[in-house]
Amino acid sequence: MLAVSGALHVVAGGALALAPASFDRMPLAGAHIVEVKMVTLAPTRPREAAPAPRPAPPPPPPKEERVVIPERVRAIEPEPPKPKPPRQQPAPEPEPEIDYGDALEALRDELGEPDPAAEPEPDDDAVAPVAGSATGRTVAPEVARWVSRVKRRVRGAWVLAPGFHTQTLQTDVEVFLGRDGEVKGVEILRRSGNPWYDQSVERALYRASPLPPPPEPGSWPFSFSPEDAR
Amino acid sequence: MIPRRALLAIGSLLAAVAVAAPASGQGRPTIDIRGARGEGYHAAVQRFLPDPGADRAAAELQLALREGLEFSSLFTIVDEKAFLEPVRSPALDRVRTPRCANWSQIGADVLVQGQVFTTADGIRVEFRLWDASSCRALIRGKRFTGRAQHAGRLGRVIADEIVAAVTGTPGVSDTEIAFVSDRTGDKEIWVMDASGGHQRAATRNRSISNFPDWSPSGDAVVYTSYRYRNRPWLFVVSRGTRSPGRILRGLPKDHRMYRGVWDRTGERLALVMSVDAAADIYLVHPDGSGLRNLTRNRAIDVSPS
Repeated sequence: MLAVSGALHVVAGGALALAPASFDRMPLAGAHIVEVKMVTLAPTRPREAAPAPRPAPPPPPPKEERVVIPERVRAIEPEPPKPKPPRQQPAPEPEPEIDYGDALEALRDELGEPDPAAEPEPDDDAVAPVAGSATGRTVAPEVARWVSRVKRRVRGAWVLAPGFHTQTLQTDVEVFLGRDGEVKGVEILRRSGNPWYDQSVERALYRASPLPPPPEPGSWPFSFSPEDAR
Repeated sequence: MIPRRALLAIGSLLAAVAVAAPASGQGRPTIDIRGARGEGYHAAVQRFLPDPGADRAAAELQLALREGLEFSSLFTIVDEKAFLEPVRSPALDRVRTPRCANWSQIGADVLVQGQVFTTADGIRVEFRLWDASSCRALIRGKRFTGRAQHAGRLGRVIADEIVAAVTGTPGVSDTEIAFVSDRTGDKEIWVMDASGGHQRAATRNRSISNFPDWSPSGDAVVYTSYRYRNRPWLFVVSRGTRSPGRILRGLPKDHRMYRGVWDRTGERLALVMSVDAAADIYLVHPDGSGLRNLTRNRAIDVSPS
């Protein structure tokens, strides 16, 4: 047994020893031997080492670079004096808009269903003290319901550029409402410090006009902030 | 008798109605509006009145202006078919308040009017922007001049001005984006319009070019390229020039510059450079003068911005 095993090992060893030689014999088409010598380069002096008046370091031919950025169009003439913004004029003939929120609410009113999106409203005429209010005043339910509808409508009409959403801004205004809810005028009581923000507030009120008819015509205070209460 | 719990519930419900201290003397609750939900403004753009011979430029400008406004995502354009007023803008030679009610009625928030004049070497464009609801001029008159073939560009410039008049921040339709592309087989710096159009190569180095950064004025780009001795080096390419400037030519060869960015003034660059193994942040003027360390430590400091 041992003899058989030994003979097999000898045969296998011989085959392995011969195999590389057979691979070497395979012809390499078009091959040639390149001899490489590793040498150490003498340290070259940096050609661009000399500073200021441009030492001209051309050796490796710098490739020509072409720049294809076209020239810009420029504003040539300055803007004539800009009109200083506000001094609000009453809006000329605001037209009614379709407000699906209002339409839905009207339907809910008709069916006696509560509005899931609306702020909580009292369901009777009771006038209770308002917790947390600085004045402890109360609001009648019909006013609260109107306020809720007005909020929804004005928010839907208010457009803010993305940059404003993260800022702390507040604009307080007094809005003059007609009996039918038409926005007759807007007076800014407290400016935010950003005129474009203040303008967006005014624009929102006129865009939202006419608001739902108020409980009483006249002036109503509004306060606008970018913070989203959702 | 109403249970105490019910009374408390009513009280807290009322508190949620957002009643604050009265701002007016009439004792009415302040209506708190928190968060805007409007999706955008509607802009009515009357066709700019062209001088004889400027029809084509005016049409090109008009198209670019409308596209520029819509690109801002702030405006949608009111269809001309809805106009109650003429499609074509009136002459702006005298201040004339438009019939704002007719624009509000079709849902327009702003109205753009303009005129295109021919000049000796191109065109001059004047325009006016109205707030339709208040009937107030947001831009009473602004003029731009340029070559007739740049009418589209003028249209985008005007669109960006209109965005600025409404938001306080100019629009970006006339801006450009610098980027790296290997579509030619090598990484090169390319430039395109903000909308993705008009793509063109800014470098043809046939090497590796990377990390482009616009100067604040938009007149130059700094980038890193290996085109010089296969080492990373900073180059500044300026608008209208054909050969880019290599920054800091005189540095020893063991220095490596990896990336540069402009500061806000455009007067200096912050760059990442390694002298030994560790990279540090340096400041330098675009002409290579005034080089100084901003950081100096053994750690690797990168990515200034």
